[in-house]
Amino acid sequence: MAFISIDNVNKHYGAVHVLKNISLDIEEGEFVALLGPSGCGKTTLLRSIAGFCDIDGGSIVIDGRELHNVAPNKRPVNLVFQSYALFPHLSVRENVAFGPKRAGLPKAEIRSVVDDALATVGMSEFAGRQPGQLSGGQQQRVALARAIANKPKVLLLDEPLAALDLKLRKRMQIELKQLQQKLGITFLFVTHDQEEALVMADRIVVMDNGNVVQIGSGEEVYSRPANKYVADFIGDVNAIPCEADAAGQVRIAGESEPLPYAAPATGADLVLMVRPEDVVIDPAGPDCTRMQVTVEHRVFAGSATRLFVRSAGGHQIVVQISGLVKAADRPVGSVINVGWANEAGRLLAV
Amino acid sequence: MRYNTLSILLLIGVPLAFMVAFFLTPLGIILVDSFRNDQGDATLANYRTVLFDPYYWKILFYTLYIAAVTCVFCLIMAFPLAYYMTIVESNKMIRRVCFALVLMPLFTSSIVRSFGWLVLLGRDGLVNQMLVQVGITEKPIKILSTQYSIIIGMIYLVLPFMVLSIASVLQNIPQSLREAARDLGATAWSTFVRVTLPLSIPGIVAGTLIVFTLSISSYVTPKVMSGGRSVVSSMLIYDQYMFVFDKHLGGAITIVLLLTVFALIGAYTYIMERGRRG
Repeated sequence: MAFISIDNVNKHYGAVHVLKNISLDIEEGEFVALLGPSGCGKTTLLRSIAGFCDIDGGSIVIDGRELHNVAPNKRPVNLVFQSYALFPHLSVRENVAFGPKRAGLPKAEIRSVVDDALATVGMSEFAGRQPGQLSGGQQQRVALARAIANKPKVLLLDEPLAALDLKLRKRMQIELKQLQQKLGITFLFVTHDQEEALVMADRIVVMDNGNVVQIGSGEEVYSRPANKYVADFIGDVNAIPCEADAAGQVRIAGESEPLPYAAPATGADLVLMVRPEDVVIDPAGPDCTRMQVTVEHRVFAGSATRLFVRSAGGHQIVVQISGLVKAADRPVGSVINVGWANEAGRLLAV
Repeated sequence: MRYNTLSILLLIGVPLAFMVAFFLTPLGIILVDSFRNDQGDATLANYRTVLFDPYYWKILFYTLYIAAVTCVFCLIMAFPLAYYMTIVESNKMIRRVCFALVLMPLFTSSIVRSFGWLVLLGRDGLVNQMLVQVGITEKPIKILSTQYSIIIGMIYLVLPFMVLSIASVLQNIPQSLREAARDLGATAWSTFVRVTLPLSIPGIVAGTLIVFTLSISSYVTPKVMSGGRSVVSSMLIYDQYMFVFDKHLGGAITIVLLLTVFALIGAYTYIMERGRRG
């Protein structure tokens, strides 16, 4: 049995079905991200594991122990709250010592555990401060130290970086990842930020509307999305409508050239998913899909330039080229050839 | 945000003028009166009377005693009530009903409420009837015109202020703090003792201060519940002004009471502040 085994978990809030038959296995020492938009059930799942939310059915087992009816204070997990939830009336040191004290550790041990935890997050010199005197990033570190001081089997993190500014968030992403590798604790991380999930997680669990839509490594989820929702949510994507004829041949709607993909058996609508960075100008090589398009719009975004182009059939396609593409080189209104390697495209039923 | 002097003056001018006209000026007159005799000569005789006659000390202590006991019982009753209304009950509608019920006593005049207690606590009142019927006592016991009736009436009068003060603070303690405590291994009880209670101290301080001062200055309730004897300072002061027509002695009693209460409140807030900082 897996280290964490979530089996067929269901949860209703009144008439709303927030968790629908969630099953998920996590191995010891893994860094797993629960990714999805707000309201998808990811936080509810996390809170169910922490014990703050009673599930209606199914089971959650951690390290061989079924957690049904186990109070939050008896669970082998710790939660890092989105709001940090530091105790405002206690100093940083007392905050971190809160867990070890409740566990009844001897005084000397509490001291060394707290010192270790604060040193791990680089907050040793702030031990005497009150939480109100710390910046958001510092509070975040204290919240982490407070959680890891209990040596949990699983650390649950509820959007812990959401309140930080972009630069600090990016640094904390790397630090968190390194911290997890150093401690070897299993991390279960909730986020709505796909980049954050890609940067940190060994595996990403994509959730939508109470369902697990796809589980896989960052590369898998990014390059082989299970459906349009995942493709759309993880990164930018061109979704080009396609049609299948009676012979099972697939074409981009309005185009004559057949695509080298097999049509799914279902009669559902088909879309071709291509990442903007996979679309190139004047593609070379044999296994390519090519289209003649007109440049409509150009956006410079620092490390890349985006061209918004439209095909003769009326499909808008975004082409992302690294670096700067000068307006003079690809003027708006000019007709260019774009295309992508066939293996970069992915045909999905909607 | 910056304010210029003119807008500050405009904003606080009206309340300031009101306070000066209707609070500071009368207080000043009382202060001056207390240092004079009927002939208008300056004298310390009034203070000598108040400070050296045990009769006045007795009434002052009794006043403080009633207020303190009221405060303690209010706190004991208000805290669970406030806790239930803000933390336990999650249904907003029921919460609102609770707040309305707590405020209800304030909707009627304190005289009506006090007379209601007379009906309840009298010799043949409901409470005595019940005690006799259940067999707790053989004969009706005397509740009215004792310290118990004054304290009961007083608690009823000021309880809403304690509940509201504590509830408003409890309401603002984020749920995540209690959850964090549980998550870190604290039992429900230790979460209360280590997190909720310390964080609710500002509400307890505010509530006890309001209740204490209201109890000290309350006149109608002790008057009705004590059966009319002058037992607390407010009644004594009233009698000095209205029946004895001795505004000089009355003023001295007022000033002594005021300073005593100031000193007590000062000491109390100092201790609570220090306690909070650990």
